[in-house]
Amino acid sequence: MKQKLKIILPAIVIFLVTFMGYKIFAMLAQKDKIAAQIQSMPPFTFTNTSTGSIFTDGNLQPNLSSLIIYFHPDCEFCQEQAAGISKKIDDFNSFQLLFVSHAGSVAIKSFSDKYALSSHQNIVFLEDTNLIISSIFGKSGVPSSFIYNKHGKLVKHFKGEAKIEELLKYLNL
Amino acid sequence: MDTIIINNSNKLETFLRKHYKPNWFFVFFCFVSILQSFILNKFVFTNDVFYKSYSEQLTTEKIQDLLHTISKVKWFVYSLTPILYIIKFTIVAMVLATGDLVFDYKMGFRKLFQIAMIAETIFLVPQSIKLIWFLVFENAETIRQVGSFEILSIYSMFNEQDIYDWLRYPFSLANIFELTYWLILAIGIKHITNFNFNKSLKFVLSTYVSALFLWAVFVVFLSLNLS
Repeated sequence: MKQKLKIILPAIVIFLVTFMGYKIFAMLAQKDKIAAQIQSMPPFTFTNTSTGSIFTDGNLQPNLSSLIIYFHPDCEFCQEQAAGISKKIDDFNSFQLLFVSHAGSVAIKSFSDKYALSSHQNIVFLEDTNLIISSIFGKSGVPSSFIYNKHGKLVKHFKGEAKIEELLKYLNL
Repeated sequence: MDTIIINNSNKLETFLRKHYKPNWFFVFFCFVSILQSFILNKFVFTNDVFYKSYSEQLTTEKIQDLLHTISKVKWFVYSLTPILYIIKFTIVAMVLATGDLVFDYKMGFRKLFQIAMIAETIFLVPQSIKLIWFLVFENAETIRQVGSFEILSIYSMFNEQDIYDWLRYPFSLANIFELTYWLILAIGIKHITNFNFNKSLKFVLSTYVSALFLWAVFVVFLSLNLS
């Protein structure tokens, strides 16, 4: 038995290190690909929750800075960020805001109504029906904010809640 | 090198035979560790450091809430220190005991647990250096700045901004104190067996160091998966 353990234990360690090593290299390659991909506004296709129609990157207004917020209606930090934006909504008038979530359209609509964000022309709520956001913008917790300037170049990525003043600072760059 | 280590190890053995009381040693160890955390939290992680660290993300009210929560739970966290150390010593002793079982050396779990406990004291040194550094030589600006102060490690050889997040843990793990920890484990193994130092060190390398390497790979794997 002890002779067998002398072979089995090192074999388990070698197998686990090899398996995780392989996965680590695959994840690093994917991360590099996504990091390069998001430097400019990446192509995307989501569903507009207010019209039910398809919304793509082609629907974005040219020459306007964009704020893409990946959120979940149940997330407390997302709620606080939405409440903060709602309070200073006039300061966001000259930008386009995209709220993207994989939560269902009913939950997203209820969220947008709660923070009085649904009636603004420059704000769109999108549902990630095919769960593709992580393959476009990378794996991110919620909320995550991506700010693109009017030329479609990424200027800032906030992981977690971001202060409204900071969002506006980078949108105005 | 071997002679120096063996001579020092003999002195250590004599000292420990005379004065070592495991229970009191554990109490003293936990006390020093908690004291270090207390001083760090009180004098290095000041309110200003929190405000500067979270100024981009949180409003002043949210930072105040965070500080209030920390002040409420900090004594509970300190009280967890002995439990966390018992868990750590148990894991290290279990890893060594696995090798003990496989090679049939009959060292005994209790002795291995005590070796793990004694060896852990080396990690009080970098923590003390960090404290002295931020109390005397440099004012802490952010929590990250304090967290990334990893003296005598591969991490400290690079600019903090140049290191990928997933490399932070393995780079900070590769340090002089970790190497010394391995040597103390080997001295302890030599003390409880009839092995010479080289054989003890080989035992530590094949058990604890292998497990540590596996753990480091797992942490990198997990951090890449979650980030």
